[in-house]
Amino acid sequence: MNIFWNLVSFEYKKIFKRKGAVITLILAAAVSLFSVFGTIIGYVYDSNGEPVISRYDDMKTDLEYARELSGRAIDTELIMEAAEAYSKLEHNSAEKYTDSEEYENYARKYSEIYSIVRSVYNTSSERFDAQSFGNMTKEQADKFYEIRRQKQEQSIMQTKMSDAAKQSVLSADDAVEKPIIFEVSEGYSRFFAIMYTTGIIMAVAAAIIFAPLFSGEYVSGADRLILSSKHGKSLLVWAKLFVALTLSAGLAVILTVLTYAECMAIWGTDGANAAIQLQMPMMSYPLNMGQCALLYSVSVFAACIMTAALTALLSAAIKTPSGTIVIMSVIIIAPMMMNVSEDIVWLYKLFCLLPSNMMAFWCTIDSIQFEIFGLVIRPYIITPVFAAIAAVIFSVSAYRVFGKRQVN
Amino acid sequence: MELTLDRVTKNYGSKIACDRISLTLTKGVYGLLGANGAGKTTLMRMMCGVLDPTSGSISYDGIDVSREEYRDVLGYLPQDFGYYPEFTAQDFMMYIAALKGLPKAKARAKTAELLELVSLKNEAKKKIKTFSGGMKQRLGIAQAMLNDPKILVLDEPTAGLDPKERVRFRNLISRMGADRIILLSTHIVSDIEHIAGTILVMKSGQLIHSGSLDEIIGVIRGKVWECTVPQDISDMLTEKFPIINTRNAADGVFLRLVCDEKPCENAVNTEATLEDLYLYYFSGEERTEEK
Repeated sequence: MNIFWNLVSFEYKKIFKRKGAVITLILAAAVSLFSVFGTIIGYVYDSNGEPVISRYDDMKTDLEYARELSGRAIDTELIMEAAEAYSKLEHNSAEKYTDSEEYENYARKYSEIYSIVRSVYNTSSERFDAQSFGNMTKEQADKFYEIRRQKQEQSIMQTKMSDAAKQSVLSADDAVEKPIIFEVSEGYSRFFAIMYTTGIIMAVAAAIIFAPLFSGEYVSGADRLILSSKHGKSLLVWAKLFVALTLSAGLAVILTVLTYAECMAIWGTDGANAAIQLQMPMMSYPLNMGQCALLYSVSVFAACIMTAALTALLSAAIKTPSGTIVIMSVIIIAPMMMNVSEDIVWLYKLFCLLPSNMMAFWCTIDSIQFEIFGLVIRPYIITPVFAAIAAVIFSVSAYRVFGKRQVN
Repeated sequence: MELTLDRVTKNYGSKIACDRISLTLTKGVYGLLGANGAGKTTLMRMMCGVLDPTSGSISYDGIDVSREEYRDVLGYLPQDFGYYPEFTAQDFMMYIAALKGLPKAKARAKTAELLELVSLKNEAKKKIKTFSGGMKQRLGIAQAMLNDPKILVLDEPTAGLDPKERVRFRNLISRMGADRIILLSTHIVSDIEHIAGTILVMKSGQLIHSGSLDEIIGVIRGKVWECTVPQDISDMLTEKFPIINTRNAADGVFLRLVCDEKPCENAVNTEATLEDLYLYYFSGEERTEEK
């Protein structure tokens, strides 16, 4: 076992002696930092292009308003109170309503409530805009949860999932506590959004750092020494894979914790127990923000490990590190530019299991269920399990490919 | 202690790199001679388990070349191989020692001993990227000996070494050959002449000769001639026979050549050397390659 750890330490040394790997790690941390702080740098401009207030101060104002509503149930009373505030807005095409004094004085405080209500009352044929909200009746407000349920049923029934899966999704909503209690959860909302960028950065960094894991030995010619040595076809390969997996795990943990800490530091730690429905009102999972953040982080972590294992496999199979980087870049970036219809459920689910999609929050808590041998499984369960299994398969394959390497 | 090669063949498509080579190597130093492309490196790679034969088998005391136990008793210096430029010589040796399964304490002691042996003791803490070609070659030799191998395969070990280092290396190999199997290939014929107990000659993927220096040279004994001739005769002889040496002399051109019969009137028969044999076999091939 000592030999294994000795080899592991040398493999770490090889990676950290490479300037490219160190620069990649520093860049990954820097981009991750900037993707958080970038959102509060700069100014909010009015319709004339004049700076009005710094984004940071604007964000603080929004948070203060939202905190005033924290703890209140989203019921007829709150909805009508918000609608009343929105009814004071004057709507003319010359000015954006958010630039008006009335918005600032009355409606802005309820903007979070409006964004939740809007997604329930929006229909495919009619947008529930600020004016519609201002004109909202008590009867409409009374039916908030009823309409939400109808819309949810309609949306789920339209999918091509099996009846069991549809039923499973709809019944999950029964456990969602209603009325939903409003809480400030901006820190979590931002975390869900920014972690996608962080996840992609992790995947790209893993591809760049681990591309030479095996092929670097081919290019330098060190493979001759390695493969003719006692442990070159066995322990060393495990040591290399161990380093790839642990380093990617470390990278994932550090960047996730960093992103979480930054989001909490800037937007506040409130909302861990708030329902996820505040962020995604139509969502049927009875989960709170903290649980979602944990499930999402586990998915991103697993996706990062899977990406590292896939990079290791490609590195063992392809002769040059650049070839591995090109293929991994395509695997990571191409799905970000593609769309797959939910109508072909199996293809859509496969699409969700690509590394970059695993790092998207919408894939983690997607309504489309996985079904294996008639068993309905939630996406936030299958994603890390699939990634772990794939990582094992990729690692074992990399072991075999490198062990069979022929020095021609 | 027996390394057995049984009808070892390696094909690359229609090209045969090694053709049914059968050999039994026991303790001692074996020199592998052959022109570029003769199949020496391919044969050595197969003997070190980094290249699978198309057919045939290689084993050491019944242990197949593909097994870890085989690699455990193997030391290999490839013809060209990668170092880690940012590693120091000490790091590199410790890394290879770990690959060979040496515990840290033993690895440290062996590293110090071998770096001193190849005159790199003072450079142990220097990064390999600062090393000259000769220093890298010496480091390569040192790493091959880390596990005190029973089989030592050295592909062009003396390339890049200065004459003093070559002599030291030859003496070292001679000593080591007493209790292990050493196979080395080189283009520097005198290295093999001095240290190899058995010489193996490869041509076009086949093992064409195997034996002691005396036995091998026997092939051309009585066929090596020296003469000094006018330029036109020299041109004619050069065209016709393998020339081992040529130089301008006061009264014409001095030639040393291999020929079954006396090539000209004033030719004198001389003692054959291994270099004569090498050139006799391979000068034609090398001329073809140059074209």
